[in-house]
Amino acid sequence: MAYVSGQKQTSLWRTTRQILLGVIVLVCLTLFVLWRIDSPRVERLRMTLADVALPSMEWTTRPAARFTNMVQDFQSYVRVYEQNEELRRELQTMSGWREAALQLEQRNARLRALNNVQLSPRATFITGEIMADSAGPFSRSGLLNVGAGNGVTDGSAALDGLGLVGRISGVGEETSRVIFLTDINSRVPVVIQGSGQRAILTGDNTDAPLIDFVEDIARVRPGDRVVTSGDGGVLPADVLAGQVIVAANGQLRLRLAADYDRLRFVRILNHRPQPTIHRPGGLIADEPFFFAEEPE
Amino acid sequence: MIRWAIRIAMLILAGFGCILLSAIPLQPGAPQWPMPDLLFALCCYWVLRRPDSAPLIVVFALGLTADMLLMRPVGIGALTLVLATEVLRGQSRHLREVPFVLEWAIVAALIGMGVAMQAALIWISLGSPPTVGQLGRYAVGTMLSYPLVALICGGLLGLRHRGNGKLTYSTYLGEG
Repeated sequence: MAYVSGQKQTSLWRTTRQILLGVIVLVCLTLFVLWRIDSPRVERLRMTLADVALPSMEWTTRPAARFTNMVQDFQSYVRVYEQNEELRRELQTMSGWREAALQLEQRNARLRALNNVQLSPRATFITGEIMADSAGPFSRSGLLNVGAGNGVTDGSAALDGLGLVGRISGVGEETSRVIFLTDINSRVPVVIQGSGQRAILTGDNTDAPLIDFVEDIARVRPGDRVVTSGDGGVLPADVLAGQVIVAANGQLRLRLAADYDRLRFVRILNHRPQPTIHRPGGLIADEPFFFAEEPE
Repeated sequence: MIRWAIRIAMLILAGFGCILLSAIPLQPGAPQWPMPDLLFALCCYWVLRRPDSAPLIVVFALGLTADMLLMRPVGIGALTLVLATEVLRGQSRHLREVPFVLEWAIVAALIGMGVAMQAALIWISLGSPPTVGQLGRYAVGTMLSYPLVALICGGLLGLRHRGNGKLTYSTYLGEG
């Protein structure tokens, strides 16, 4: 037993310890290699563990997060008068916008009626709260308090009210993990509107992910909107991700549309991919029968 | 014997507390400063004070749980934790006499090496490690958290070096 200490440590005990240490090192390295090679399986293990641990996390992390929010709220409480003035001014401009929005909505409805557009009724969403986050430098992701039991599926898009936040990667029974666009492993196919070029949004753990693999950088302007392209069939198309900004070294980066500073509630879009057409329809026979006997 | 078991249970609880503290979503989207690895500091402090009540298996289990729950690369966080505590455990008798600042410096060196090793392992396995700046901030944060953890463990839990003359709760436990 480890209780035996000092000069009572026998050589047998020391050897056992050495072997135990060796085994533990081996287990760690095996787990790491397994995680690198076959990530989904280890992630499933992780989500099972999170499923067990999250209920106990919920009653500790929720009050703590609430407390910090209260402190922040109190700080804003101090300058309530200035805020009131500010809000009044904003309200005045907003009422103008509201009028414009109503007119646009009516016009949109008219045009839709003319066009007879069918909107997909199958896109539903589930709202979850971020209960825990990964705190280190190795990843940027969060644990949500909704899971497979609530209808969350792996790979769904996660949004806040303003734009794309990330993607669900790992679903437990009552928890799921959302990997943010800023995570170092996040890769999302996008379209840069304006020039219509396709690109890959690459997270690098900074607040502004990189826009990579752009064909013609000269045609991209700062401020262009970036939306998901839906390539690969994982995320739905045309979800707003943000706007292009140009970094000091000429790299294209994305200013995220989602409010990452105040991320708390996340919507998970349950989107079923469009059925792809990969074979001729039923009317056209599979085999040519022109030169053979007619099929029944 | 019972006291030894109680102290192990205390380590497990404190370790789980560290994991929970790290998991609090303060600014989940845009963290300004990565959360320090409190568990690492806790285990280092514990091993230096009570090497026999921080068994290898418990440290390993805590490290692996943290890896799993905090969404770090699986396995290598536990590996660095186990290796670092083993180094300290081997030297714990010599490190009893050194002043706290020197002890802090030694632990800080281990923290730096641990973070570098994790990044190196990710890099070797063809992954993309975080940038040097992010890793550096993480390491510095963990180093700075060590005195704080020491203060809390030494003050609140009464975990100090054994046999410093006074009969505190911990020395009382330590006799057992």
